[in-house]
Amino acid sequence: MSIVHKLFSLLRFIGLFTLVTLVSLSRGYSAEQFRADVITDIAFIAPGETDAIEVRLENPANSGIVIKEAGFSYNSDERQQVQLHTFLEIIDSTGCPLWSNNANYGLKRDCETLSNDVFPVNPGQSVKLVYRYLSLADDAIIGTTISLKNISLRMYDTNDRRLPDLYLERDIVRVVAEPNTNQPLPQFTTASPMAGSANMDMTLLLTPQERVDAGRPIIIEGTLINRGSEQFTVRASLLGGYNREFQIPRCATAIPCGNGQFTIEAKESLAGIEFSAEHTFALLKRGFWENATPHLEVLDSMGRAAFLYTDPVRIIIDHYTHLPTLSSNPRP
Amino acid sequence: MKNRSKIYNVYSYLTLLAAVISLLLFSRHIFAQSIEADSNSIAVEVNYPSVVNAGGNFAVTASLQNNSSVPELVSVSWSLTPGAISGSHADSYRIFSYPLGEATSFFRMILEPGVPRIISLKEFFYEHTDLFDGELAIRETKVRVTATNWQVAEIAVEPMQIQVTHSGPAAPRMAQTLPPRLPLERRPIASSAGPWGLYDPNTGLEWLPLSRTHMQTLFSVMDKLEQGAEFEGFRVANLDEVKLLLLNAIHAAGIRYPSYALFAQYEYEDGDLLEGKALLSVAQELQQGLGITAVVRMPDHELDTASGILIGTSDAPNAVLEASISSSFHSQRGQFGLYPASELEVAGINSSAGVWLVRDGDL
Repeated sequence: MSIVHKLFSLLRFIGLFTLVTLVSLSRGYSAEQFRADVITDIAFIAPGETDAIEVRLENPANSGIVIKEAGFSYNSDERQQVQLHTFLEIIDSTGCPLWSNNANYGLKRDCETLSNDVFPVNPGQSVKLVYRYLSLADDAIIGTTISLKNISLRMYDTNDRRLPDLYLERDIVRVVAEPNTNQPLPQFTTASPMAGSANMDMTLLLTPQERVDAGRPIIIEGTLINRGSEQFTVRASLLGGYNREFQIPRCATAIPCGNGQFTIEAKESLAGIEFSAEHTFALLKRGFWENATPHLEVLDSMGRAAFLYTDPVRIIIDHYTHLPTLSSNPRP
Repeated sequence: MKNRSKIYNVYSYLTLLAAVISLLLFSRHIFAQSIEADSNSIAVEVNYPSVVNAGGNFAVTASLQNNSSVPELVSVSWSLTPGAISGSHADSYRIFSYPLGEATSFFRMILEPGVPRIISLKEFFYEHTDLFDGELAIRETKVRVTATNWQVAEIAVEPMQIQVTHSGPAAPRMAQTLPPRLPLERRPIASSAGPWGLYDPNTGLEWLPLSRTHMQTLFSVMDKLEQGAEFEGFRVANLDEVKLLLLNAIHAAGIRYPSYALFAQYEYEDGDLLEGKALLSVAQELQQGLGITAVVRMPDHELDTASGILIGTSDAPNAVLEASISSSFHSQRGQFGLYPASELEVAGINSSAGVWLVRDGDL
């Protein structure tokens, strides 16, 4: 092989290496490094008692990510349990009733101003935070089992990007019993099948138009690359901050999708995805259409959500005048 | 080279130097002065004439340049306080900014990278009753530039010195004639839109009270313009028609009010108290004919407003704006405002505006 060929090969290798590195840099967060678990999974709770359920969150030393903020997502189990047990009230970590059988709560009762004052959580840190307070009325029925499953933590990094939802390792069980009972704790399987988070290895590349005439729909072409070995369901709306005058349809136009979502297979690349935004206001104005944090929500086979971010999009909205005009010709 | 250098003797150098100095001195009186400043990505050059003729008008402008690589959405404002202006011509000018200016905070301008744009910061209209030689000085001020992300940069503008020239001794300025106008009439109208309207005998146009269309969507009002509908025969007025109506009312009251002053955004609230007081009675008369669409009653702020949406300017026939007439009882002033209509107003939600509807009243 001549020197020229070797040089070309070297250049090709450098080019490919740079591309792969750049693409890797724009990937979504790898989700598996965080860990969260309830401190006490099974316990007794007495009528009239309020139990603070605590969770330990671990940010491994090698994660490279600072958790700026986190909170627990609403859980359908919580509502079901409160509907099932009229003596139960679930209070969120701020001290405000979240689910309650008392219709006056939220109107009459002042919320306490509690907070999980543990953030930011730096790499290598492990912190304890309150998930919920379970509050039982005095007439709580002895022997009742309160069960909360598939509890997840919604977390944000220092760029306000949402990290993959993190599910607790174990579910929570509380058994209503007399105070200071000496009975042995009943046995339950609490290991959560959802534990951890979606292991996403995907990249989203967007090629937006530079400018669009006011009133016209905005169409952004995108390519989605799944490097991982898992199939994912992709919510077909491009998320992020939008101008209010535009509405985002539920479905990407170029790829068939039901219920506003489509599937990407393992190792699959989908080009030609179109994300659109429709102008819906009565007035047309010159300006910008901006999405500073464009991202997609993807779900793994277990339904765990992860968020795939890409570069900000800014499209000029052109108009023949700087004055606002009607979006349709005025009727005579 | 030796031969050429011989040509330029000392005398020649001195002559050339004198010519350059003369040209520089002369150019100070010909060309506008400019002040350059920078706010990270937006460069601003403020331009003003160093010499103007007494009796003439002028503008202070800004040349904007976007030095970033992406387009920016910018607004620019230059505030003057009464104390910022001095000199023998300090009170000679009516100073204001044009309310529909492209770079105002209402509209914001798209500034493409590397493409300079010139905007008017302030218009100076000579209104002194006399013509005389003097000067106008503006002390150091600030230009505020707001970029796409709403970040604001305040740029210092160096003091300005403007010579206002008048040859000969001070002389009275030719008085502006007041156009003869007939007063507007509130009269019954033969229409389902009734019971009364405001007739302008100067134009022959009949105006529907703004209170009749208050809290309705613009589109629902436009639907009612159809044949057989409530406002049949009326149409949505344009900016020129509304301006003419208001100027006719002002001039019919005997107020020497220049047309350029209507809707102008004054530099300071107490710009012309006497004029503001005279306009209060005109504003109240107009409100009697056009109704009131918004009322404020607070201890130090009592305000009645008649406001309406209009469609069309000479440049943009489809533009949607809002023009208002306000009576401020606390400050004893009548004021006229012009703004871009908001989405909520067009939709009739939480709106304090009606729609300016007009028809030929002589039919």
